[in-house]
Amino acid sequence: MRKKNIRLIIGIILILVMTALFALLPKIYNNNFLLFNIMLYIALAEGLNLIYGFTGYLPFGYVGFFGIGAYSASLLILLLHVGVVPAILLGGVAASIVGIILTPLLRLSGAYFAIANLAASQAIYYIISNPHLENITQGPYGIMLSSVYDATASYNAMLIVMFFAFMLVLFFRQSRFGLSLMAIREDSITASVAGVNVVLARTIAWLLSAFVAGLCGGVFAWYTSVFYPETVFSLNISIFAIVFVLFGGAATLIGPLIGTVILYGMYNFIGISTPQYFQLIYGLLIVMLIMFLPNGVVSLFKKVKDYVP
Amino acid sequence: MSLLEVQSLESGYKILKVLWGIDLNVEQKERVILLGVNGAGKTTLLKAIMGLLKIFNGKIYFEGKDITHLRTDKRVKLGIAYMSEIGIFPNLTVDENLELGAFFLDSKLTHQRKQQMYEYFQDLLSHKKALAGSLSGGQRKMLGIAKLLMSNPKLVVLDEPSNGLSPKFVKLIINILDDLQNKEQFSILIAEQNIAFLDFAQRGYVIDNGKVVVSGNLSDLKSNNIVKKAYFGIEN
Repeated sequence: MRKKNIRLIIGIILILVMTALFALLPKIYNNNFLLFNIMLYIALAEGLNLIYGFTGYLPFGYVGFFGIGAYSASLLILLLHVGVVPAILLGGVAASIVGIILTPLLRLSGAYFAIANLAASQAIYYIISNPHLENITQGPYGIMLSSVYDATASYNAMLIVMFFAFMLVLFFRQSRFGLSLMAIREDSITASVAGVNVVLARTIAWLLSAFVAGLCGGVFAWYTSVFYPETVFSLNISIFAIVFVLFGGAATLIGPLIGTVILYGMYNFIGISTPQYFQLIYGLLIVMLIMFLPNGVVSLFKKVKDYVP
Repeated sequence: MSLLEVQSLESGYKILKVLWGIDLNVEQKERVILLGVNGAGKTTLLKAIMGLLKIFNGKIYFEGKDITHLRTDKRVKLGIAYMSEIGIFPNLTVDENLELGAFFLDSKLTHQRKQQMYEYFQDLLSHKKALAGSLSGGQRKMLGIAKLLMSNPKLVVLDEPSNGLSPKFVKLIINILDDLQNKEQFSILIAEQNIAFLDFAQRGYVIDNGKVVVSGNLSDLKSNNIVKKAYFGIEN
């Protein structure tokens, strides 16, 4: 009992430290754009962790929710003149609604789910970028949100979304609900005979995961203020989030955090210093990782201590 | 009123009918064994009772309540606990496995039951933090049984608990089940091929090709020619 509380407190302290760090960093480091992107990918990686880490479904089309969030929030602001913050929240809700529409995909497993989800995200992309919808979505010509642009406020919004994503993962990690999800991931039939409502539990995880991606999309739209369909539906976003989670270690709080900071940091560092070797080094690194540390960086810590936050 | 009552149950997989009208009942605190060769339909029957398969026809009652089309997790909450041949989560720790066994109980009760289980199974206590997959075959069965009893079930349904165990461990499992049943007073329905379980039970059913071919109490079963021939190798 007490041990559980200690773990909860460690998790909360970790989250508060990270949030405070990103709140203070802009004062000493002026590359605001990089900091924002790191937070964005941490939040996306943690959001993806909710569904991949805890239920084992690999959502290759995770970017679909991100794009839906970005577009829903933007269109609510531009067309219906909704306030920015409610629009972003509704963007998250819109992503969850798309998640509800896509729940039948959860009947698939393994690679089939990943492929179907990928296809679904591309379908959404083609609907939104369809020139016939120019009057509503601006089609392929993109969105301009410069009327509500606010660098500081959108940075802080990202901070809050990141905090929220962290808290969700901590809740999954420490609650019996999270334990039931991990049981489903291991063996859904054995989980159901342990009294777990399998369908409900994994649908909740799926929708929360979509909600986080939707929020990220909305805040990204606000921060960037000008973007095209291919910006917010770029498959690279899915792939980055997946690789960051795998690199750090799924189903933990710090895994996706470590993965994002190290890999996204390297991505920017190599990309600037020696861009000609970037793909090579990055690719090698990922291959090595899968070969030698299939359970991510956190599995190194797990050798020393059996619990990693 | 029987604890569990199965009436002319027909079930199977998609379009393949495996059970052709099974009648079976389990009384309070009773030990019932389900005998049958491979492919007879033992596992199918247990899965149908747990709600893991579609019921084509017939009824299942638990404590007089019709549960024929109830979802699996709701049946578990009513007090039916099931151990499949696997029964545990290999990639979770022993402690987490136990916690999942009482998934729907509140945390205080869970804690109590966990202590109780560690008392029954001292061996598990020393492996509390270990991944369940790292345990030996016998220990896994112990964990499976402990996990099962976590929820304080009224009916325990076991699918071939002797599977993959040495005769020595089979005896141990029987002794443990005997002891725990006396302490906790649950009913047991066991599907087995291993005849060693016959003396553990009070009553039994022999199924073949999805039908009950023989049923009755222990002495009836032992004196039955079909059972003699199939399990003891005696022809008369």
